[in-house]
Amino acid sequence: MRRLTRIMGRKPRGGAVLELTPADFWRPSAGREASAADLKRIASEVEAVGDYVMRLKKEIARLQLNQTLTKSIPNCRNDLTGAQSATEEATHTIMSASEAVLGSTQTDFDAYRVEVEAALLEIVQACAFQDLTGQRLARALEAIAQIEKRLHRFAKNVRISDAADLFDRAAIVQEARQETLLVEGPQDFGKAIQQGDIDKLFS
Amino acid sequence: MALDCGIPILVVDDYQTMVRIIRNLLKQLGFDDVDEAADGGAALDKLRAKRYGLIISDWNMEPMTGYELLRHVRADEGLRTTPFIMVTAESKTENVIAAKKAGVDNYIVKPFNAQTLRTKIEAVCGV
Repeated sequence: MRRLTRIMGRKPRGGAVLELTPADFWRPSAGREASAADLKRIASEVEAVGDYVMRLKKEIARLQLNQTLTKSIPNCRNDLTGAQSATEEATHTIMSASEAVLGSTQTDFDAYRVEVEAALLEIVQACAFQDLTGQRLARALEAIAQIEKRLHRFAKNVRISDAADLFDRAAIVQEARQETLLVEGPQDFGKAIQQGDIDKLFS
Repeated sequence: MALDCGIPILVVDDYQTMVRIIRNLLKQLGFDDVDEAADGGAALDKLRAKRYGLIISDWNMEPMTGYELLRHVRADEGLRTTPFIMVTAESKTENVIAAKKAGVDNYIVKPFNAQTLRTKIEAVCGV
């Protein structure tokens, strides 16, 4: 009973802990006094609820939500943004160097060779982005794996089931858009339809 | 198959790098009259202001997708016969079938090369 009191104790404004007993959970509408068996059953049920709440609190703490929200996710976003920027920058450099060669009006072979070699060197140097991007992506993947592991453990230990309805308005709009306009973006590796199969549909 | 390289082409994609790639490939194929638009809505404005011989469009764009653009084009009396090639990363069979039903002339999955683009343009616009 000590445990039950600790779990169900409330701190009213006065600051004193309100002690509750199983009898406090008996419904007056039952039309009779609570028997010893009733009180035992209530105590057992309340203790089960209390155990669940305790486990829930422990599992929520193990989620490391503050660390996830203030560190893991912002760092992950920064890494992905950085990788995106580096990719765009490198693509721009490679495109510009290629366009310079493709659009060259040089007629002297030696001068043309100098132009081409300079452009190729720019392209080679731009490819260094892959090293930095790779490291950023690896770090982001590691963060996602950590968050995924915590969420898995939480869902398993708390026996979570998904709500039938979505409550996030933006997610609802996005899902409706995806369904209506068939917008999903690139397929996973190995799942996309091949150009040859598409060509058959148009032949 | 002979290609009329003088036809004006509208490239629709919200990703500037892809527009640049397609523009360069078209230039290598001999097409010089190439305009661009960043989404379906902007494309419709251009299509109503100038007569194009070919539309090459991405699918996934905001706010108007290439699929919506295709349906608008096919529903517009003045535009419905304009050849339309979808160039997209949307590579599920249901996407291809939906686009075909909506009247797309050909469909290219990204990434693609110059030869694929040439073959599709020939199939759609070749004489």
